[in-house]
Amino acid sequence: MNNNSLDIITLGLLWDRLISIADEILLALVHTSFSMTVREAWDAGAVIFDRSGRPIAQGSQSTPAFTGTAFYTIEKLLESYPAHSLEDGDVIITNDPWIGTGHIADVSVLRPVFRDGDLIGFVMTITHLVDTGGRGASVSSRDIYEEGLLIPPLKIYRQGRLNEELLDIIKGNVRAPEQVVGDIMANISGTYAGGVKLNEMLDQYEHDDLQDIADGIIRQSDTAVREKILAMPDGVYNNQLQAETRDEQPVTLACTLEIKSDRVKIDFTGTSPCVPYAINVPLCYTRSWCAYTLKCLTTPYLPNNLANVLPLDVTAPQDCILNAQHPAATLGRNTVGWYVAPLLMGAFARALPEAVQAEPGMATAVAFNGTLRNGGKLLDQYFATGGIGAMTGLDGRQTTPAPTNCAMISSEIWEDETDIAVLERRILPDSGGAGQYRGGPGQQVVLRNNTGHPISLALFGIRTEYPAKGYAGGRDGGLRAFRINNETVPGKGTHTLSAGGLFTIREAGGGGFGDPGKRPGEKVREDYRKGFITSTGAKQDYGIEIPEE
Amino acid sequence: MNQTGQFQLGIDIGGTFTDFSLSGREFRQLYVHKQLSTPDDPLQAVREGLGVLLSKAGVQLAAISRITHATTLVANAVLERKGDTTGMLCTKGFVSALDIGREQRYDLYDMRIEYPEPLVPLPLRREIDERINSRGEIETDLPEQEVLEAVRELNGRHRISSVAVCFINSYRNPVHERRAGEIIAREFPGISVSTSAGVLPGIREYERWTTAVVNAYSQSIFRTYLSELDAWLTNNGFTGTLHLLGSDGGVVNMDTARQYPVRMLASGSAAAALRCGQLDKTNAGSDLLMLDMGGTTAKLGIISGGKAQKRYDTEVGLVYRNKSGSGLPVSTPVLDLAEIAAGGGSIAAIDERGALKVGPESMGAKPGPACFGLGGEQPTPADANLLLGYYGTDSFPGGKLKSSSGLAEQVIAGNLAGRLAATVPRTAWGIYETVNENVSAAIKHYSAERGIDYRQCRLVACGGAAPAHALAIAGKLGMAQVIIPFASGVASAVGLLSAPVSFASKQSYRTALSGLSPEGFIKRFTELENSILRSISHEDAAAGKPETARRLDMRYLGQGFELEVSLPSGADMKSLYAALPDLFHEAYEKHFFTRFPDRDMEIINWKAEVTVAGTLPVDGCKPAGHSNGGASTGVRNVYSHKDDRFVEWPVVNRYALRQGEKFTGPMLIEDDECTAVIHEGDSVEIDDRLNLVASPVSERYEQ
Repeated sequence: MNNNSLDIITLGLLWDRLISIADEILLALVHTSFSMTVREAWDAGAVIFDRSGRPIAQGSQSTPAFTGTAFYTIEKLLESYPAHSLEDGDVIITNDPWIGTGHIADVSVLRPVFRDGDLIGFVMTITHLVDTGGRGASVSSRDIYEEGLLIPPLKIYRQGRLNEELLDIIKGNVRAPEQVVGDIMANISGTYAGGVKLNEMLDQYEHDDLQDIADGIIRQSDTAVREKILAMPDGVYNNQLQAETRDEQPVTLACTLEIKSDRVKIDFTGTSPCVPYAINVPLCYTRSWCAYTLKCLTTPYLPNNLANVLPLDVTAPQDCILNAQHPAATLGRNTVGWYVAPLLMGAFARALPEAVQAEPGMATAVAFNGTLRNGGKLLDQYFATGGIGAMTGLDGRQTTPAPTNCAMISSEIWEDETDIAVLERRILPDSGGAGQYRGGPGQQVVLRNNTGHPISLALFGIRTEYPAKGYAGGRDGGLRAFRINNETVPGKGTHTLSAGGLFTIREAGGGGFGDPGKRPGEKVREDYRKGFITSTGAKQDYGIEIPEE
Repeated sequence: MNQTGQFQLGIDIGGTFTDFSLSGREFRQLYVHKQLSTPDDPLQAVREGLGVLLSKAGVQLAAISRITHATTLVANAVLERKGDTTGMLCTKGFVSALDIGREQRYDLYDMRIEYPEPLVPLPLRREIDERINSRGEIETDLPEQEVLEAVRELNGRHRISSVAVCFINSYRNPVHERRAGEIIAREFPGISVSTSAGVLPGIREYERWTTAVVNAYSQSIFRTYLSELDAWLTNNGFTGTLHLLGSDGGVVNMDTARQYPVRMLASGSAAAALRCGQLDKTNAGSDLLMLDMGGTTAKLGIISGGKAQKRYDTEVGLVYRNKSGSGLPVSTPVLDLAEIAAGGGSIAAIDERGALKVGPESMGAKPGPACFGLGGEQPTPADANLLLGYYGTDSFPGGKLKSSSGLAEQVIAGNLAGRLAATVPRTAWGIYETVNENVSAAIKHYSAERGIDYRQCRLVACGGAAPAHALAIAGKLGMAQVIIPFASGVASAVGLLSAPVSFASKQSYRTALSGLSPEGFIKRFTELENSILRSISHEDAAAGKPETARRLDMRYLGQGFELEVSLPSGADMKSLYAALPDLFHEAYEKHFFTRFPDRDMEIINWKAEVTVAGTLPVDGCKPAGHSNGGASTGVRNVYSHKDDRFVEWPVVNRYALRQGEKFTGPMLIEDDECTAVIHEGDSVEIDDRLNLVASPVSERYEQ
């Protein structure tokens, strides 16, 4: 086929096919992983690039945080290993937070793909490793050196030959070498499968390379994104919010959003400085949530690629908590980074009041570390989600992650692997913010330590003091809380759970949208029947009496 | 007429039509019939349609040895929320499980996604203070009195007709669920019980419980129907075997069907896939892409080497933009097909953009499209096809149903044409094209998800509506060939005639390979196979020599997902055992491009399938139909979009066509069940089994 004559129908076909290849790689990663976080919570990503390093397709269910990091990761990796120096069978690996996804726990693996000896593109996969050594999963680290083994960009395969020395270094520095190495190998074979499938696709369509496909994908997407931005009212919009830390003092996150013609500028001047523990955010992660929010508001129905970051400029003062510099500790960067999405949404609300979603209750990841009943190593993360925010015409859904999208872990799988029993997972009534459209309620989760040993749990809790804000007159959602044996404990830090002890998570609700007085009585009564509000809540928030049955 | 009991019958109840087929090993003829479904009393259409078919063939019900039956009853109950008032008992602490769901957004960027409401609302759920731990040990005994109280109270308040018993860790030890089921059945004989591990003994409580709830929700509707059908057949002299078709294309006996209606969720489309399989065996070549389009929905599927892929999870009742993730997850063996809300009875309306849209709502069989004259007041593709001249008023698909173009014109003019400021024919053409676009988009999506190039496939038109749309769709997609099989309007019913009589069973037993002895391996499979053989009736056992296929779900120790490994047939069990590690490593490497030769592996599920009878070779059967006179039955005025006027198209009687004949469109080819629309320039050839093999003109659609 003549590559210059790529018609829109063929482009559509090849585009869909690329996404399907990325989806396949992602599914293979999830299915082969030795880590529960990857295979149950989908903490993983897969991206396909053209030969100049432009991302052109992404696995549809990749973690949203990876929406905007990959294009930057590859840029940095190719600085270390220029594209022309790469050979077939090379594989580059790193977990450098400033190159990858903002923390040491995610490993990025990049493989150049060749066709008849010529470089045609790259396949990258990213997964969350169960351990990287150091203090383990904890926010207590004061700098990156305490967070464990940092792998700078290195070749783990060189022309198809495994770099066993590097693998040995990794094995020697982590708590669960079998799982960690298994997952690294799964990433490597995922990128290999991607390369094979790309070549198969090009064979089928009698195509020499990916370039005209990439040009077409980015051109079509870029036009669509810019059209949407053009339609937004030009102006400068500010927002700020506060987030709890481990200290008395909260951090302030501030942004200035400038919409001008078909470009969006976001600056984080006014944001608090870094802190001496692991909740600092490298700019790559901050930028990623900017790209994500812009995508939700412009082209949610289009697949993700480079076009989504092209109209976007993101700046932040050096050493503010949203632009942490080496050697800041960043393992829990998501606990502050997730706020970037609602922070921006609040700024966009001033420009597009009908298009935005009230703040989400967000989610919790609890890192457990201890010994299993049979003496094996316990090293797993438990996820629980709060409710999401309401928007015009739509109540927020209960127990749904936002802005992240880590799935829950089945209670049975969790119990089977950890010896920690799930005693309860119930909707928390009245936790969703009241409004004409109601915020999503959170849930109460109760876990019991059945391992027979005391275990440690590291909390990265958010919204323990600052609730999800309601919009347009909607009320705030309920707060998150943690209890050990019915005693409330601080939301960030490491705690011990004795054998047989109970650990309770009360998940935060999402913000409401619009005046609660405008919510129809029938909807309020339906919420009551569904267990989303109590009769007290109905009376207090909506002034509606629910007769006792 | 031959009455030696060699006849087989296929019955497929769809949302709009009920289809029938009849043939026999010695008989070598194929009779078919199409009848409007009767959703309020599905049996009515079966009774009436069977009467017509049997008298047409001159065969008595007593001469039928086997009936294979497919039905959308179960899926429709869920889709339309017309199932039983269902209660749910769950382990203490888990009353919110159905609300909490999977805690994942099925679309990353779309903030407006929606989720289905649970089938059992909160007031109908009760917690029971019992607990079995993850090792299968009883932690808190089952409080039997509490179970009975809960059911009594639910029944008193809500008049429940079924109940789902959903306890945590029952996949490991089902004793509490079983016991609760027994005592409920004893005390409340009128309430049907579904236990979650009984429906599906797999880990992951949310999926298992949703599946159990769907089963419970459809159980008494389905049971009542089956009992009535059974009684009616028996009273009318039927003494043969009645089987249901499972969603995976294998048959299910009556006892199992009564207990597990969820296994019949997608039985109609499985039957259509069997029909495509019949074609593929002889039409060697590229893969087939099935388009099974009836009155309510259309199904898509890839048939490769005569078979569709199997999978073990599906969804029912998608609620948002037809997106996967927006329905209720159901874990049950199904064929890997996709469903879209595009059928002859889908409702055409004007959406919020001010543009025409078709579906997802459907008129179903009652009242059906406006032109049926049964009170339908919404325009549908069937109405449009009638006005365009594709369908004739006297030869309307569906057993020559009389239809009224006046009524069709009324709804299209009144509901749409006025608001779109377009003429009625132009609006009708818009409906036709919208359906074609929707199906094309779905085909693209379905193939992309599976990494298939649809342009390399041949499109097979099954179902009453597909032959009218298939060539236009294939033209849009640039597909080179369309097969419109003989009796395509009742393809599912014909497919049922070749349903293999096979019975499968699965057992969850987790063991590391390093801890499994050859004796243990042999013993487990022997037990599994014996349990299958015991459940096979005498009639079925007599049908042929049993053949066994064995499969294992395996993974490396420490992983969370399994890979299915097929064990080669014919090998002796001892050498199979010895070959297990290599079989797994090879399967794993084929799938994931890597292997871990030093790691231990484990077996999670043991599966066996015993096939006792082969299929009825439908291919050789001579299609029965009237073939008096010539092929041509005249001309009809058909709307030409290009010229915006009606032009005459020849109309041909399909029963009079002979092998090797060739035609060029435009033309309409009619049989009793459907009309094939052959557009201008499309070419058609009749093959040796009287299938239409057509090549669409693709340039037609290039702008």
